[in-house]
Amino acid sequence: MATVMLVDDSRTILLSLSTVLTKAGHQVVTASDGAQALAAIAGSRPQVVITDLNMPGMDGIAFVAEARKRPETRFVPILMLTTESDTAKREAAKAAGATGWLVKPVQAEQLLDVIARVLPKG
Amino acid sequence: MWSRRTRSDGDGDGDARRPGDAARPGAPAVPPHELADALVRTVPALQVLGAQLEGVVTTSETAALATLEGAQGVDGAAHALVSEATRLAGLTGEQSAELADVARTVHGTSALVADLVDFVARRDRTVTELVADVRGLSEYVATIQSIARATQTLALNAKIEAGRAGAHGAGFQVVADEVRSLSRQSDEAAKVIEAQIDRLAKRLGEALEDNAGAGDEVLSARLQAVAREQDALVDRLQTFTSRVEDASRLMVASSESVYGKTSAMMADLQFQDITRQSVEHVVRALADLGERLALVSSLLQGQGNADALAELEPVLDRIRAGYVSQAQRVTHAEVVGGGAPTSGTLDIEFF
Repeated sequence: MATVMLVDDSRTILLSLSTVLTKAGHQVVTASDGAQALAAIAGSRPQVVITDLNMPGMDGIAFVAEARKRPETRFVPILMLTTESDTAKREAAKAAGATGWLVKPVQAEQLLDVIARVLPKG
Repeated sequence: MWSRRTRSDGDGDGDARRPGDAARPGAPAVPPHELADALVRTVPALQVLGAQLEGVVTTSETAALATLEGAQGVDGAAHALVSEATRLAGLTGEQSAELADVARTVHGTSALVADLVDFVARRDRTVTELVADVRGLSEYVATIQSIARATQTLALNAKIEAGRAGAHGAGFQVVADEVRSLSRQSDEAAKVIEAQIDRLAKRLGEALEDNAGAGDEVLSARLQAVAREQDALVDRLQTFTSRVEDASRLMVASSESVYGKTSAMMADLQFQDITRQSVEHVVRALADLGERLALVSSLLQGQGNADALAELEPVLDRIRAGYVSQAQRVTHAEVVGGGAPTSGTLDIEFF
């Protein structure tokens, strides 16, 4: 089980996915935008980050790029969870340092499986 | 909904005809300033529509959160049910183990009853054999009596022969008398023994007959009935416990299934976010449309820059740029023409 940071401007997303992850035994930290997430990284030390793409203020790609500069999240898996499937945006996220791309809606089992796959083994 | 075709609806020549009257020659023309007024008055209507759509977003979010809260409640209940059912299954499991002990004890009791019944039967057989043995002793008594009679005859003959021998037979006569006395004593002893054997055999027979008739068989039957009842009771308890265990397991499985379904339901609420983003985009597009109508109104009143209306593409580009899903781009392409831009085909992709 891991500490998972959820970054999304949607309360519905934050609450629903938090519930799914908590039920699966993960600890969840939430932030409603990139800036808030960056501020919370040092204190929460997430082992996986799941972020939305389209958010007010700092969007998901800018957040990933900033998070990769932080020692706490330099090597932490960061997954984009978004309604977007545009190839150019995927490439931009990849270039910024994202680990993977998930298109909403993602099923509970899929989300948990993806987290299990990106978490360091052992 | 906008389309490329809408661009040809107005020719921009300042014709003040009411658009709806275009096919009716001779209809009175609408002055440009009235058209401008009409367009300006349309803007609040668009704002109202935008506000209504924002209300839809808020309502859908409230509904989604309420659904989520309800699902969490169901989840909590299912979780509690799983805990209780698991605890019940544990208790019935313990009870089952205890019942197995009781069953072993009851079966042990049954074995003891069987041993007891067997013991009584063996005792009865032993007594019967003893009676037969005792009766068999009578034959030896008869033999003794027969020997006594033969000895008496022998002693009598010896006495006669001793008499014939005269003085030489005096000693022999004493022996003959002793033998005769011994024979008589033997005969008397044999009669006493025979009488005692008869009495003993009779008493053993009576005792055996009494026990067999009224005591042991009834006792055995009752003990066996009690053992059977105990066995049946334990069987019923074990069946009941087994059913409770089955029900508990079923309850655990059902509750876990509910637990899994609420997880799926919570994930499904992502649709609210997708809808929210689409509607928010429509609201922004309506605002853009309102600005365009205001611009047309200004132009009709001889104000503003007509170049801004020259091309629709910038408006469409702004709309297109605001899309956050491939579905929106596909819809756009279906309405205004042109292909939708490429998108990744995988819903989950690792870089």
